[in-house]
Amino acid sequence: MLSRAAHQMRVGWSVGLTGRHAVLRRGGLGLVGGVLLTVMILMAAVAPLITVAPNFQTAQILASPGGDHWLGTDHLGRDMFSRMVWGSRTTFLVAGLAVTLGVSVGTIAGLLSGYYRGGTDAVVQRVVDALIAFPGLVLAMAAIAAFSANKLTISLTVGFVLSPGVARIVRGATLATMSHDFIEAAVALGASNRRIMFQHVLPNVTAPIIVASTVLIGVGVLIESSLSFLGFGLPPPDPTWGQMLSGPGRVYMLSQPWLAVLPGIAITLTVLCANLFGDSLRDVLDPRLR
Amino acid sequence: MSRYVGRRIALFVPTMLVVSLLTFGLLRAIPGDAVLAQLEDSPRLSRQEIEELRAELGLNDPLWAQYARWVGGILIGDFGRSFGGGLEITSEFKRRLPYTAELAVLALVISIVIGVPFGAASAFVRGSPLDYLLRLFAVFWLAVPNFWIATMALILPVVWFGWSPNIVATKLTEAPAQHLVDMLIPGAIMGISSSAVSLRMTRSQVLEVLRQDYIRTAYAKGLGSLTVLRRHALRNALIPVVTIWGTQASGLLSGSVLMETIFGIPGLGQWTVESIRLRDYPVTQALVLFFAFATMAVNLLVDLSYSWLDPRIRVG
Amino acid sequence: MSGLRSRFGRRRFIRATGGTAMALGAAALVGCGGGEEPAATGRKDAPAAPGAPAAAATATPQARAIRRGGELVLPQAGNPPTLDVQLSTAANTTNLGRMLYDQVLAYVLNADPADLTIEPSLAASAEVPDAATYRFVLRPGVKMHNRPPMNGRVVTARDVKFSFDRLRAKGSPVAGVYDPIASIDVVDERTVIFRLNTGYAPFPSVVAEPQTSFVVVPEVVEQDGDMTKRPGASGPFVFDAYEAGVRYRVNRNPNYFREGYPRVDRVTRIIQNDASALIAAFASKQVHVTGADPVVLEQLQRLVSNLKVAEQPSATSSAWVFNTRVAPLSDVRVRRALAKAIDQQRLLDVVLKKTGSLSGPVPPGLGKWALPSAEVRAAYSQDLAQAKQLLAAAGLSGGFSTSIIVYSGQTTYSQHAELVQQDLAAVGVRVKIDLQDQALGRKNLIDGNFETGMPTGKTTALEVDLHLRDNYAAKGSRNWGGFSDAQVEQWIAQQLVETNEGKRLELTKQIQRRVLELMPEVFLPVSSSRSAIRPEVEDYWPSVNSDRASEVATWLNA
Repeated sequence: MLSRAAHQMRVGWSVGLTGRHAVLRRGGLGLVGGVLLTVMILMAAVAPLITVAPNFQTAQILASPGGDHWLGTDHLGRDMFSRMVWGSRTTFLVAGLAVTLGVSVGTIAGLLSGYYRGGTDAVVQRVVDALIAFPGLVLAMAAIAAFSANKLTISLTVGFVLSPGVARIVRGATLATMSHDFIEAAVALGASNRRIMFQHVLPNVTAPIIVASTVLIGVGVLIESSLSFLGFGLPPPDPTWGQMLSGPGRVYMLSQPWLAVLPGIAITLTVLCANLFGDSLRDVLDPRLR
Repeated sequence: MSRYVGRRIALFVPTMLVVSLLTFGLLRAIPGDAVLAQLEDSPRLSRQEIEELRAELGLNDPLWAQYARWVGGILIGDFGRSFGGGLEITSEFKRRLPYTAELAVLALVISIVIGVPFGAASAFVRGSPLDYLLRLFAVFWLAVPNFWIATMALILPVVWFGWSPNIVATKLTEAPAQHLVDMLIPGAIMGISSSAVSLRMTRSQVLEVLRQDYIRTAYAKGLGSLTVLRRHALRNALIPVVTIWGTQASGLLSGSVLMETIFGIPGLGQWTVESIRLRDYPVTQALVLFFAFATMAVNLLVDLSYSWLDPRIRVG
Repeated sequence: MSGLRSRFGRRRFIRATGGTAMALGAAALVGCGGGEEPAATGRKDAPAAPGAPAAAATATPQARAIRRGGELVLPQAGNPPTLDVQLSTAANTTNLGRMLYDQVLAYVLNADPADLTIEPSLAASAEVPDAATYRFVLRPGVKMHNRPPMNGRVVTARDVKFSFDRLRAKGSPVAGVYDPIASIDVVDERTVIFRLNTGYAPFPSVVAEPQTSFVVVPEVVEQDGDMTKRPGASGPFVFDAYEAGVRYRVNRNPNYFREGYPRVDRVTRIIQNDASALIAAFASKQVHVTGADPVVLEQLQRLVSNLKVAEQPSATSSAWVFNTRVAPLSDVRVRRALAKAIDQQRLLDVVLKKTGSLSGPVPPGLGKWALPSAEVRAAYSQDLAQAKQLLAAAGLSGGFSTSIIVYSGQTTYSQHAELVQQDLAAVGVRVKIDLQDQALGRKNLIDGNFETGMPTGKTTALEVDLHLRDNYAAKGSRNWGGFSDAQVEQWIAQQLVETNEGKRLELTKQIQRRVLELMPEVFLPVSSSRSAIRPEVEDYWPSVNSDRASEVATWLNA
């Protein structure tokens, strides 16, 4: 089931990137977003090659940007450039894992929910409904308090928190798709539920899923930073952007603004790029738009 | 229709049951309890006294008994008392609900007022500089963390004008005008952030609808763009947008947690965070139930609005 | 005039109460006997005592006319856990309590935070016939707040007895400090005698510590069950309103017994803990004062150029606690190695921005009771070679792995932990920082379910015994690491009943030295607490902790 969905997604993505109307050909905001995002992810991947360890202690505390440290140093005297790059690693890891989980769970839940429409498996739906209704932040805070703050717990809980949103979107799109004639035709032809769901419905709801996924990468980054702000973030010393933005850095706003402004810009830029890229993808992905 | 609504509302019961079990279980899975959380700087409380305090709060009873007592109380409308200070939950809830509700309504209104028209406009002028500008504007506000905007909203006016928004909210009954200002700033921050979602969703849906046959037909009939937009495109495009509002209603809670924390608003979000920190089980449980109920109610309304917005979808 | 002095003489008094952390100084008692005059007014408007190292910057020239009225707005980190000040020792409750209630004894109120003199407050005089008996005669005509059910009646000895009986009853969070009380006897309307089982050196200072000594109203407790619904007794302010999560307000008590006080009409405490919000609020005149670490202060100074700063040494120690029950931390050599690997000066310079000092078991805020900082510095000098030797001697030349529990949101501790983590890496000790929310972290510490931790919640009291007995006696409530040493145990018991102050001082220093040697915890540097004060605020005298009602003297010059 999943591989089928993944296949659809892959086809969608490759068409989106290289097809006749693809993002790469059309340029514009989406291209800029995609390129910047790729550069950031690449930098995260090769962090050890391009910079010192994030906790390397330099001789200067709170050095201004420029000079020996071109993004300055932080309140404990660590190089901000290295913190930013290493921070992106953890940030992308947590957000990526979370979105993968959230989209998978949410898509399945949404498809089932929209397809069966409160009929056959009421029990499953009650559980799904309950999860959807459960306030995500409470869930995240409680889970992090219960299982201690580490990358896995935070990714899992953020993913879990994201899934209801995906489920609702997929459900809405599924409902809309179900009213099309070709579904009725498929039913009339005696296709199995599974076949209809994944061969006929899923391709038609892929566009909203991709749009949602790109938004959610940003949302994942934002939730991580909000949890940091509320004291439920990742523990030091491994930096994340959210932790750098919400931690002590925020207090240096007037005297050493780069401490918080840099991670703030990084988060904003990431979310911005992911969204613009996703938007453009959406424009070209939907086969009916061509 | 009314049978459908009746059935959906009846389905609230099993869902709430699952939510209540989930909440109850999850909270008790968190190590630490209210007694320890409140022990802040209390010298020389012996182990025995700690146990006695626990017993007093009923924390030593078997879990099923605690659950039964809680649910039994709710059935007769008694949500119990807070572990911290013994406040009656119902009356404290009544005090706090209006703040969060006000924030949510402000945020939603601002989100719609900005999101829908700009989103539709953006779709109509797709590919033009205006489209890019509107989209950039939308995504930018989505991209900046809420608490960071809030921090800026506090600090920058001080730097520039020596003035800053209030860091604790004024009561409506004491100074209505000031109260509105106090609520409007955090409400606007939440609203602008979520307007990005409404905008981009409106845009993509209007784009989708614009290439449907009946729109072409409408144009072919010689109707002007605005009429097409108003009469045909927008209404059909609104379905997924409404879905988004549904999910945002529950998402508004997390936004209001941050805004209530920074702007000192005594709403439900602030209370939720505090109750989790203090392991104040009765409060967290009651609030989760409320949020779950509210989310389900909103989603029911969303589902009902589908059939109103798109008669092709029949409910029931 | 000097009632107490004439009856007992300073020598005898000092002998009798020799064990107190702060002997009732003769100077403070002058003028307190009659009860007609406001206590200590002679000192109130005096400039800071010359030579006091950290005197508040708010001392006012005497010539300046005091402007009365107005509303003083102060921030507070969180909701009071309860409005009944006898049910919680949290600072957020005590802040409220010291405005609404009085105490029998109190720390003297003046501009010098280092002045830890105790003076009679509700009491007009205190007599100590023998080491186990304290006789207090109350000031005549001190009135309760003019609201039901007290309706302005006079404070009596029965109120005092009731309050202390409630404080030492089972379930009171401070019952332990009054264990030695055998009985409290009301002699007449104004006279009450505390009879102790033995000599109890900390007695005067725990009676002067607001957390453990507010005098409440018996009829309110009897009618309501506690003081939460109708807080307030005879204090300088009358309770007005409390909105959880937002603010509480108190109004001036027109019948306050210290004539001319308080000077403002109203005090509002707003509940807000976000540092940036407080920076904005201070600069935009929403709050008059805010606690300011060096970083916050730097931001504030950019916005309010002529603000005033008050600084006091810390009365709370910070510690990195080891669980001495588990290997390898059960080995004192390992604990010493960890201490030797740490660069304390760097913690002080980087984390505390050079404001503060190294601290031993007793924090510098307790004045002479703290070990001299040179001694602490010597004990904590960094020596990596020695650290490695010690580890090797313990069979751990390859280092080992451990974790530090840090409570989430405690940025100072988490920065300490990050630097400690770096320092220890140099001697092969791998440290994981375990961020836990307060309730969870505290549970793990109380249960002994940890390796090392940097917890909050050390006492803020000015009584030295509370810094020693709770932490290092085998059964101490804050002895999370399970430390136990027969010698320390014996000295702790001795100092408790030692009424000769000099001898007690020596004993408490011995305990501290022994603790430094056995190292159940490594003490981290402590910052001096600082307040940023808006230029229009006069006579704001912050205390070392919540131990004196400075809101009483403060006035607004604009």
